[in-house]
Amino acid sequence: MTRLTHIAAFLLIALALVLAACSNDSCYDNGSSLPLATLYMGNRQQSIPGLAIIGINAPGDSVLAQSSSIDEVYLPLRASVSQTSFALSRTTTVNTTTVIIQDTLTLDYKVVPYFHSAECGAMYNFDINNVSHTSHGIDSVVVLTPLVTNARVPALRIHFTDFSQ
Amino acid sequence: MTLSLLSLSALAQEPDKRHVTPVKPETNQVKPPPKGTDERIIQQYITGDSTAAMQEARRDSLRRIYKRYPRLTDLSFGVNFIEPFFMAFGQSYASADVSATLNMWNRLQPTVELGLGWAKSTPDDMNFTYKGKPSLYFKVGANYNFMFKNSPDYQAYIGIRLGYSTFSYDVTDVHYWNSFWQEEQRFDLFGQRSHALWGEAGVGIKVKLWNSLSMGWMIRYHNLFNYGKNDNSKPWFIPGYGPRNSSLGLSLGLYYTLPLHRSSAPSSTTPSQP
Repeated sequence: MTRLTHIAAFLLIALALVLAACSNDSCYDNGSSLPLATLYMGNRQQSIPGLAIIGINAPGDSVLAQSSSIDEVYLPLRASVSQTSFALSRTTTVNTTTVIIQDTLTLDYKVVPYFHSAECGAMYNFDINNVSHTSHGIDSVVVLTPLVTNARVPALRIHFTDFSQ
Repeated sequence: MTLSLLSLSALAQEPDKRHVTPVKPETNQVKPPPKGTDERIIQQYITGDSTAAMQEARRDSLRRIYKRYPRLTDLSFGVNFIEPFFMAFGQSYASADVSATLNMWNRLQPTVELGLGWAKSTPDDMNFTYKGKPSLYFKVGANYNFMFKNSPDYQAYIGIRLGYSTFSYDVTDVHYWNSFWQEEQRFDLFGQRSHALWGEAGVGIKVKLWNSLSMGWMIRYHNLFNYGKNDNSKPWFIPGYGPRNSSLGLSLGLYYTLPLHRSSAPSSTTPSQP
C-alpha cells in the first residue's frame, strides 16, 4: 500500500469510530425528586376504595389522586418551604352509612439543591425529618427512605384503618 | 531325491534374504551452510555438533527475517487535539493533552500523558448550566505494537492507561419548576470539587505523514474506579475521561518522533539483543 492509501484508511476508520463513540443520553430515573408513598390496608399493599389526595393550599385545589385503582402515589413536596401537608379523604361505608373520613399528612424536611446528571438535570432532594398525621382513617405512616431523591424507590408507607372489620 | 531336498532347502531360506536399498548419491552429501552463515555455526558443523548448529542456524535465520529493533528505538512527543476540534462543531466539553512515548524494541511503548480538560454546557431542554473549570489530568500506561516486525512508521497497537484528575465545577442558572405547586425556584451550586480515578484499554494505529511527523488515533474503552460525590452534586464531566456516564473515548494526535539510535532501522547482520 502506498502512504496515501494508509492515510486514507486511517481517516476513514477514525471517522467511523467517532460516529460509533456517541454516548447514551437518557435519564432512567425521575426528572424530579418525589416521595413515593405506598398504600397499605392491613399488611397488604392495595388500592384504597374512595381515596382522594389533595395538596393543602395547592393552586386550584389540584387533586393528586382520585382513583380506586392505585396502590401507590407520588406526593410532590414544596421546595420553597420546609413543610408540606396533604389532605387524604376517604369515602367509605361504616355500618351501612356512607361517610367521608378526612386526614391530614404533614411532612417536615430539609430542602437539598442537587445536580444529578446532564440527562436528569438539577432538582431538589428532600431529607425528611418528621412525619405527622391525624388518625381518623390512617393507622400509621412509616418512613422507608428519609432522603428523597429521583430514584424510583418508596419513601413512605401509609397504613389505612380497615373499617370493614 | 537329494537334489529335490536341496532345492526345497534353498526355497526355505529365501525369506531371510536381506534387501538393501541403495542410497541415492545426492542425499548422501553434507550440504555446506548457506552463504553468510555465522562463523560460529560453521565451526559447530565442523566439530560435529550438528544438532546445536542446526538450532543456532534456525535462530540466526529467524533473526534475519524478524529483525530486532534497538531497545531504545525512538521517543515520540504528541499532542491530542481532537476534542477541542469537536468543540468547534458543538461539543460542550474537551480534553487535550501532550504525551511522551518511549518506543522500546518497536514493541513495548511506555507512555505518559498530561492534559487539560474543561466543559461548558447549557442543554436546550434542560434546566442548568454546567461549567467545568479547566483542570489537569494525568495518565500513565503502555502500548504494545503488533507490527513490531515492520517499520515504526506504521504501527497498530493495544494500550492501557491509568488516569487521575482533581477538578472543580459550577452548576448555575438552575431553574426548577414544580408544576403541581406552581412554584419556580432558582439556585446555583458554586465551587463543587471532585476527583476521579479510572482505567482505559484501547486499540489504535499510527501512520507516518512526513519526515518525523506522524498521526495516530486510539479508541479507548474506559471505566471509572472511583470518583468523589458531593452533598449537592455528582460531577458530569471528568477531565481526560469525558462525561461520567460515557464508556468510550477517542484520541487523535500529531506526533513528532525523535530517533534514539543512530539508525532506528534494525541491523540484519548484527541484531541487538533485548
